[in-house]
Amino acid sequence: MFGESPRYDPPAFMTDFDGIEGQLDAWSHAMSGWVDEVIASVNEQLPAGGECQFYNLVTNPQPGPLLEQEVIWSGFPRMLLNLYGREKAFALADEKLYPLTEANDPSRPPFYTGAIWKTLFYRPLDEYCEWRVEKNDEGKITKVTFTSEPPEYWQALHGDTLADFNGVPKYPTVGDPQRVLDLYRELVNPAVTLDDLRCPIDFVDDTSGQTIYAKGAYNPYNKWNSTHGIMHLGQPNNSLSAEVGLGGLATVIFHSASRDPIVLGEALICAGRLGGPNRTSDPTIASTVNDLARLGAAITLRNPVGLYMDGINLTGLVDPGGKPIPAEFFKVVRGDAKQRLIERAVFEVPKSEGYVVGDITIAGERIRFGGQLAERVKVKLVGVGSALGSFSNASVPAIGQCCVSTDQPMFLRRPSAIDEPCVATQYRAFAWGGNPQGAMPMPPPQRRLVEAALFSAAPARPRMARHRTR
Amino acid sequence: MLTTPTDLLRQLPKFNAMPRHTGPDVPEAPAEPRLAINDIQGNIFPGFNKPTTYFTAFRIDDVAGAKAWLAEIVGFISTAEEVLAFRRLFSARRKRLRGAKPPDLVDTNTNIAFSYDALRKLAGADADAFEDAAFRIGLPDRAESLGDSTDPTQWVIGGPGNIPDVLMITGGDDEDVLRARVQALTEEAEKRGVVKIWEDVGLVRRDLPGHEHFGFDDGISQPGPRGTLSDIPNDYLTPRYIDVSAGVEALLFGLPGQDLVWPGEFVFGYPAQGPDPLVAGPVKSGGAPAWAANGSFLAFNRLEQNVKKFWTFMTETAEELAKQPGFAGMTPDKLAAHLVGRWQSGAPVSRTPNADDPTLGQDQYANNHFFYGSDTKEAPLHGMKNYSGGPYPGAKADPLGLTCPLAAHIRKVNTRDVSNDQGGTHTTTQRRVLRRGMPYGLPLENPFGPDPEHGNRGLMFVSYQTSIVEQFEFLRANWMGDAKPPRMPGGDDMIVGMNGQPGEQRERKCVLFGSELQTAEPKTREEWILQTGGGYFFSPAISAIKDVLAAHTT
Repeated sequence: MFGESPRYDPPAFMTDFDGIEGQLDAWSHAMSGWVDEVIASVNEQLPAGGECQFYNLVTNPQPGPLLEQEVIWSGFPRMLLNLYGREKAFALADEKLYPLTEANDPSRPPFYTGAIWKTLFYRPLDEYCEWRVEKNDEGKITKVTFTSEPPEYWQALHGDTLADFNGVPKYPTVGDPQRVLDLYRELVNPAVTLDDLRCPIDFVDDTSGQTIYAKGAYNPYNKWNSTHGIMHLGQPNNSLSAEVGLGGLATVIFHSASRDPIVLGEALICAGRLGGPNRTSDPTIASTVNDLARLGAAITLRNPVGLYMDGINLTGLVDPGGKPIPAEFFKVVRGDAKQRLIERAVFEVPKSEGYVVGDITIAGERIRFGGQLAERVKVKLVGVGSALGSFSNASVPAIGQCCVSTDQPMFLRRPSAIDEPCVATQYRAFAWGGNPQGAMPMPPPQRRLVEAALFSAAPARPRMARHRTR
Repeated sequence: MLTTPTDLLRQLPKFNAMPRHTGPDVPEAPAEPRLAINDIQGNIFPGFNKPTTYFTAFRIDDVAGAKAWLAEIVGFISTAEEVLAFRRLFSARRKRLRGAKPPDLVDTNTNIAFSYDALRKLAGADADAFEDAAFRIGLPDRAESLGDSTDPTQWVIGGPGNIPDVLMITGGDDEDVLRARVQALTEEAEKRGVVKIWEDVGLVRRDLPGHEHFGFDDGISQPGPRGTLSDIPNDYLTPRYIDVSAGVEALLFGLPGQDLVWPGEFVFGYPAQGPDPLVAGPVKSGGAPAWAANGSFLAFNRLEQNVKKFWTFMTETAEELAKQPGFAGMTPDKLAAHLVGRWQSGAPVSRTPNADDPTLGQDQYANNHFFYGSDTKEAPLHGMKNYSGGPYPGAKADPLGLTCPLAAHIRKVNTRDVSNDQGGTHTTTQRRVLRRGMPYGLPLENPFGPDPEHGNRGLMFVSYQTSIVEQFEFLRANWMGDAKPPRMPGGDDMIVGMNGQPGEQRERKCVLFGSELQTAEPKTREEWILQTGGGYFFSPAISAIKDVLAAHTT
């Protein structure tokens, strides 16, 4: 897994850091630092005598045999499906960009507040897979570009100092801004300038007073990665550090009021306040890791730690003549196709074929949305378990809960503290007999989306910054 | 769009299907909807479960005639209430006969379902409210996306130009009575311009009742729809067997391991499954006309099973595997069991990994009681103090598929308590279907011997659900037909999966773990299941047949 000098390698062993003196070590240092921060956080949660099952591959490698567990999930956001239904979700996913003053999860506060954030946008694609659709004059899709690259990689390539989990700049990198520019010009648009990619002023969050990105630092929400193009993940929850955090924190075993271990993915997210319960990724990652933790395994994320597309299922996609399309139409641009560590891919029909993506049909339906392809993309991370049965950590009481309302029973509201009562008309999910507000009544006959109420209800509150500047 | 179940109930007479307690009093149990069992067709709830079943397909040449036919025969379309009543009577009599089947107690049941085109003929523009793309487009144009390699023009039924308007399913205990019923209903149809275009007979195997042609007991792991039948407290459609002392399991399962699923996953007009299994999800009503309430989509596949190919693969592959470290002692039966997830008797590999246990296989209180995420605890049964779970070993946690492979058929279609690629854990219950299939053709006693039937055997697969796209097709295409999901390291569903991914030449392979965590990857391009017919239909409520489909339009 490692060479002579163990280190965390860049995602998918990408080579953009090569030749930049000290950059690979700086990246490994940041990765290792995030892992250690999570281990410290887990240790705080464990009961007396407990021992963290999550380990650092570089400083504390474990002997084999190592069982690799690829955790996969669908690239299309479940939250959009649950909130808006399939047709509207597909349209929103392709077209809607939210300002950072609006959260795509209507039960959480805005990511940031302040005038500058109203001018910066992100896609509501929160499954560690984002895409951008291009269309021709007839409105038919001609190209869909997918990415799973984390923003931290680009901050590091720019030479910024990466933040720790408290938002404090901690991990300096060396970087080479010219490489950032060259890649943007090659992959997004030849007209990109370095100024386009940098923060013109300090980006300050009014709620916390923190400078999230300083003037001159790389701006992950630059127009070529939002309104005008796509280079890497931009939805604020889609970060590599978030993946590391979830992977580590999910090794804590929680129990319910009845002292039974909490096993269900969504219930675990709520109990441990581990992330977004409506996402496809978070509950899947958390429960898969937790399954291994309950088996007493030592657990970590495989090197190179990253978020990847595993591939796409093209079964049933046929050209206008009814012929199956070739697999090559999904072209891997960055990452390692052979090892299925895909960071960037383009779905496009070669011009010589005489038709475009929008002419392809799936099961008798034309491709009208990028989401029809995204739901066939599998996103993944790779965990490693070993030494099953070597830990016997006791479970700890749940620290969080999710509320749910009768008029939107598919939507779990963002986890809150276990002792914080759900507001009137909402009930605690997964209380299973112990609901402080009594049994939840049957739902009304029609599902009603109370989007307006939900969007206006979330109060702003402090949060941890994820990205920092040099 | 729909009237609520409560509204529907107001229109219904009192039930008289011998209501009774079918579960313990669990104070924290969620309130469940009352099911309109005299309006829902009986093959949906609880299923005919008859030894012989006729599948009869019709084409409507005369719409007015078809309406008249429906008006004429609607009284013969069995309701859930009637089928349940007979089942309860049969069970009561059988109990008094000390387990012997009462030979003189016979019933005949008919249900009916319509294609999208047929509903457009009979209900006009109302039918356009059906949004399910699969139902509207039809199986032939969807087959390739399900990984199917066959040419729909060669199907015996359901191919282009051969799509039935009406699929009638008639099951019975007495073959003479059954045949007479089918004949009468068919004659009535043909008098009125509703032409029979195909008929085939499903037969429960007389040698191995409940088993399909590869030899495996089928249909053990059916979901248990939630819902009540009468005013009597705890008169549930799905009986609850787990004692309240088991804790939350008494609220989550019918038989041990049988997920209780909100009925909106199967019938329109009721709450469906949400993320919390004890909280009713949204009422399933969108994407369908108002009269779809109490109706369900029917997915039908006629699947030919090549028994010789199946057992040839198992024999040859087991022989190869047995030579590899960690796989010593591999036999064809054991390999097949690990690829199914159950032994032929129905005993789950999770509970008995190394050898079949026919007693466990036939013990309904134990043969579905296993989970993958945690060790399975004993489940005390309500009112059965002498039963403590049987003498069988319990299932151990197996999230990685070290005991029961992740690619095993039963793990590909139901991830139980572990997460899957659709997010978290509950999503598996949103993909469940009610299976009502049965074998056709005569069994092949010796897979390698002569075949007097020339391969004419297989499965009449029938499932009911409220979304063909999100349930039936999802399971076939996304989980059974894709090597990666629902969990890795898995592989293809070697039993019924079909790999249509371009560039992979239809090869199917999967990961098996040996005794010391060695891995093996059996593979094949042989397809031992071929689709030879099928279609997508809607099985409406009795009231919808009467008031909408049979009604004369002006």
